[in-house]
Amino acid sequence: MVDIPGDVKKVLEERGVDPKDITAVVEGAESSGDKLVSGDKSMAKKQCGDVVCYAIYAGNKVVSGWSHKLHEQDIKHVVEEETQEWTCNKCGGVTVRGNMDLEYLGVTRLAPVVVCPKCMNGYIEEDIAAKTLVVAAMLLEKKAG
Amino acid sequence: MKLHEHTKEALRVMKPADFDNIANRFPQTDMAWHGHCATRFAGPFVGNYMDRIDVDPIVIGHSAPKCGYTQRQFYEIPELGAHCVAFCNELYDLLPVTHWFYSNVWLDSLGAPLEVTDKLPYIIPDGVPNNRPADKPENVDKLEVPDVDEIENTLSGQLYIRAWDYCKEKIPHMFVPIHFGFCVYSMSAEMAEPNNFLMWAYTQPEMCHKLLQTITDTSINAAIMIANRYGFAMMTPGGVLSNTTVLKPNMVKELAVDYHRQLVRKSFRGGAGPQLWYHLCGDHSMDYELWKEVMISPFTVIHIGYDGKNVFPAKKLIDTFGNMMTVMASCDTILLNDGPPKAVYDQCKPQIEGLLGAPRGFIIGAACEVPTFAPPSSILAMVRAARDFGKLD
Repeated sequence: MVDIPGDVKKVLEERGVDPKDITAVVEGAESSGDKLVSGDKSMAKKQCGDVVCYAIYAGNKVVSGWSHKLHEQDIKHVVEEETQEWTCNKCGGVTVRGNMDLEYLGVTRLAPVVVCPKCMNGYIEEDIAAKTLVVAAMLLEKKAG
Repeated sequence: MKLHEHTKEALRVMKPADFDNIANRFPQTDMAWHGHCATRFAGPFVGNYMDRIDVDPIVIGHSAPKCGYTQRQFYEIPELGAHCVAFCNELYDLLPVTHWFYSNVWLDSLGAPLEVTDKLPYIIPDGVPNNRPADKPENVDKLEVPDVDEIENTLSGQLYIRAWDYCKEKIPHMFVPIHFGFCVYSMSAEMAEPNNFLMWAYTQPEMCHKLLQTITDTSINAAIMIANRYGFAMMTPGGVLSNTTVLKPNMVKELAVDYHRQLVRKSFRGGAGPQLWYHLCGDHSMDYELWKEVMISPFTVIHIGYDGKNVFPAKKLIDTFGNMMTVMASCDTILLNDGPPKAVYDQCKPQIEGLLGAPRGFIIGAACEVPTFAPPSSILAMVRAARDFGKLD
């Protein structure tokens, strides 16, 4: 049973993230093994309807959750030497800094990600999703009118 | 935080300008122009182009004499300086935003004295005791990184706050709070004295890294301070002395690119960004590809001045960075200073035509800040070239 503490639920609410989606992220990652790990923490993601939801959790307890509505595409570039705290659960590879293409309303732009250089699977960190991508989406929506 | 006596005195006598008094010196912005220009400015970032390519010759101190003021007034009265830029940008039909900055920013918070001269923005003055706080390796260890609250009360902090507070209140439609991170290598070199620092890069690299880390951490806290105050902070990292003329490519990477990546990542984590403008002054013919390893947000512009002695070609910019970020090609600043306008126009033509294929947006600019006394005809020639060769509708 995935546990989402009250303070985390409050943050999720502020961010417009459905706690059920976060539960789905955790359950999906535990079932597939598609996640990053660091100590006792895991970071996982899942496409939930129109948004990509992310969760960081330890055991069955959710530590944080966020989402963004841009469409994740290919990893464009990795900086091999800039290793990150996370390890890929699937291949055991140490993650590095990279850039991923994100598409929204017909426009494609890069955003920084933590990426497994072997699996080329990228993860958008909390602050980038909660701030940078929110602004990006807002500007692109404004343009779309 | 240890401030130099010069800085303490400057802070003691500092009085923010009367906002109304400054604002009343300029006509109100033509909002029809602004609306049109704002849509054009957004074009490169949202893929929705209109009328012509944007022109940004980096008007800073140049704007002061055009409005009847001196360089010294421009830098000592940031409210006035920012409005001069805003007004000139409108007159020249450039960007619908204002900016105000200088390159030795934040060094005062680490104990360096900063002074404006009649011709130059804030510099570390010669002949002042203890003017280079990191002049000896042992002094590098004594530097203290100011925290986010402390940095607000430095000379640089107060100057920037005055500029941005003024813009936010009096010309909010032109307001973009900028964290001027600039070239961490150049700023470190200023703290140690440039020749000293270059020598350390070979003889005592650990001292170089220690000083670079101090400068980087200071700049990060400054970015967070601005983001905390205004909600966001456009960042402008740069490569001014960290270029091919001064350093071998591997040193540009180790002493600049790697620190800029850290500067931006940690500043973003603290709330800065999301806009990034990488401004690479000087010759980057041997190191330009290394700058692909910087942090990139969806709103990132890269601008490179020179390729050897020539302006950095638009095509080379696009081939290297075009699929990653918005590219900004240049017109030679010496040419902008000397003219004639036809030569500026002719140089802009191939640069603009080369830029139009860039998949993630493009801007035509100057290789560096347009010189203070460059004739207005040079900027007007750039804009004319943009209209003639950079049509987008």
